[in-house]
Amino acid sequence: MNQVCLNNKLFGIAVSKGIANGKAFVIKTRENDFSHFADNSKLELSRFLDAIDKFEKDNEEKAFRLNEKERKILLGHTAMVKDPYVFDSIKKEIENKKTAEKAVFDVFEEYIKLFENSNDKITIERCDDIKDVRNGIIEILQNKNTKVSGIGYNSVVVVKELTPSLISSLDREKVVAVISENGSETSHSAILARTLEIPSILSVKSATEIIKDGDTLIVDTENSQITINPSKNEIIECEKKKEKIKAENEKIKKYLTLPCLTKDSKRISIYSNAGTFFDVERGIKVNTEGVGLFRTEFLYMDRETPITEEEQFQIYKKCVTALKGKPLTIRTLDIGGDKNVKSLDLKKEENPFLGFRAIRFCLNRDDVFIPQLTAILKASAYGKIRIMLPLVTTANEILSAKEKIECVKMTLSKKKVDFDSNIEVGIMVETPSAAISAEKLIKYCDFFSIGTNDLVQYIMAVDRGNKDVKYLYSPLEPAVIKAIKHISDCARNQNKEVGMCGEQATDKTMIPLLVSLLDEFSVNPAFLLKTKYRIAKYTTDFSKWLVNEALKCDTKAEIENLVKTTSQSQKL
Amino acid sequence: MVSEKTRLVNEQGFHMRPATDFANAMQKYDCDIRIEYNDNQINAKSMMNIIAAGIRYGSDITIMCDGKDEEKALREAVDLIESGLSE
Repeated sequence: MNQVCLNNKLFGIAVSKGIANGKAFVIKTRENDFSHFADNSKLELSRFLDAIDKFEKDNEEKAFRLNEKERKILLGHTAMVKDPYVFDSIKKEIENKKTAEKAVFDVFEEYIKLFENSNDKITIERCDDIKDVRNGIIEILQNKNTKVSGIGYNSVVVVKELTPSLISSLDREKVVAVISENGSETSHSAILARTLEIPSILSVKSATEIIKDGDTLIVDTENSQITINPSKNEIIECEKKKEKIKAENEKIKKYLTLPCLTKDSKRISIYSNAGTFFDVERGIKVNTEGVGLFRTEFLYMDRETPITEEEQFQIYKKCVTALKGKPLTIRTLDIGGDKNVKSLDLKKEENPFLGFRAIRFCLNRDDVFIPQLTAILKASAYGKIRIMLPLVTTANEILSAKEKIECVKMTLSKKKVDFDSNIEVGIMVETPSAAISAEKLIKYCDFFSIGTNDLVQYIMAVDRGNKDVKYLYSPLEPAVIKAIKHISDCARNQNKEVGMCGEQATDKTMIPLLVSLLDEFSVNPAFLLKTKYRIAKYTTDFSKWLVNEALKCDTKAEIENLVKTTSQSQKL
Repeated sequence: MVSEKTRLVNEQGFHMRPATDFANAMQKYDCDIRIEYNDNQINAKSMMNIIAAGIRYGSDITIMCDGKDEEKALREAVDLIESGLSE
């Protein structure tokens, strides 16, 4: 890595994108000053226990601002202190007359050495987490406020060690960028910086020594470069760049209130994906036109007993009510032997992805499927719900599922419970068999939704978690494009809607192709506006032409090249 | 004492989240649970010790349980590891 100081420039690793300028706020790490020995072990022990309690509560508060995945990082920090082995070691040190501070410091120090000697890159990176936890607890013990105070507006925070707790406590109103001497692309601090959208450059050697408090800085992640006390021209350049990025963001924001249209004003539905009520709300905030995929497997995970019909009903009802008449597409349980779900007693299998999962499992397990269908149908009285069946391979599966739906409808009618008797039933098209015989399957359903993540995996016969074959995993492979075209044609021949849920529906390179193939895009709420913006760049005719040209290509590289070279000129 | 050989299938190895989940799952058992890896024995109830061991993707490991609920503990430990620790 080239971390050289050239004139007034410093370099590092850019981990969270953006450009910013502001005044340096240099944070020097405090030396740890505390006494090493204490007379009253009992008192020290209770101080330690109180500190852990406070540490845990503070972490929960901070975690509240974050997503599930990032939250796990902070909760992992709590687990470090609560680790029974660590906990006992600290207790023993305290019983040996050490102060709580010294005991915490020493025990964690041992682990830092252990981790550093592990020869494993990821494990070595975790040292930063341990130091963060250790300093956090010691600060609580010494009653020091962990919050960074005194930061003014337009500050660029410069630190020796960027820690998850520091970055998650920064005030986004005031801090415009972060520079740190430690850290890497995959460090937990980097993940948090990206989530909080703070432009950050890490791994900048001696940053806290070279940069002085109050220096004017430009932080530009495009070339991973920091400019110290820049010239007038450099500031003008930076302002220009900022304007450009701002304009682009404004452009995207504009789409909040605009309908989703292609360049030739053809209407396309834009939906959001969800797995919880919280996700549904995130979609509503960006004016989603409905939920195109509501994953239900999370409702079954992390619990000892199966979720009841009533619990499910309450969740679906809450979601569909919040959507106020916009559709909620509920995917029935999509789970198999690769997941360890206590409440369902799934058997472990040799090939879980080709095994007893999703619709295959549900059709065989009335004790699971019927309560779910009942909950969905009952909730359908409160708005528009669509049922979506996962991993369908044959028409028989659709027929069997529909039979069960009809049974539930009869039961509900008898009990005089309201439901939508015309509820739509569609399928996820994500297996090669469903793609190849799409013209047959569409006869039995109301809509198709292409699940690209699994479709690519099954068509290319590739496990994307396997590094050695991952290169085969691409939606731009000719076989995948051909399949998507066929699925779309079959649905449209029967005047039925075809959508796509999955990461590919937001992909820059895929969208020009998809514009003429899909009626609905269902995407992560975070990408909804950007997807609208991208859809609006292309006309249906251009997209049709592009798909035809792509079908003539023999390799992924040709398709990639075709899309890149032609979609640029089409935009203008 | 009961034991079983298995293999770590997580691409990222035993990093923080899986180690935390695994250690938490093991803490509910009374028996002593150890992971044998590269001739070292690791306390399976301690996420810090698990991470420190730096067990990598594809490594062969042995789970050893000793105590009154050893059979149950061994079953869950092996199941968790072979299911990729819900990753």
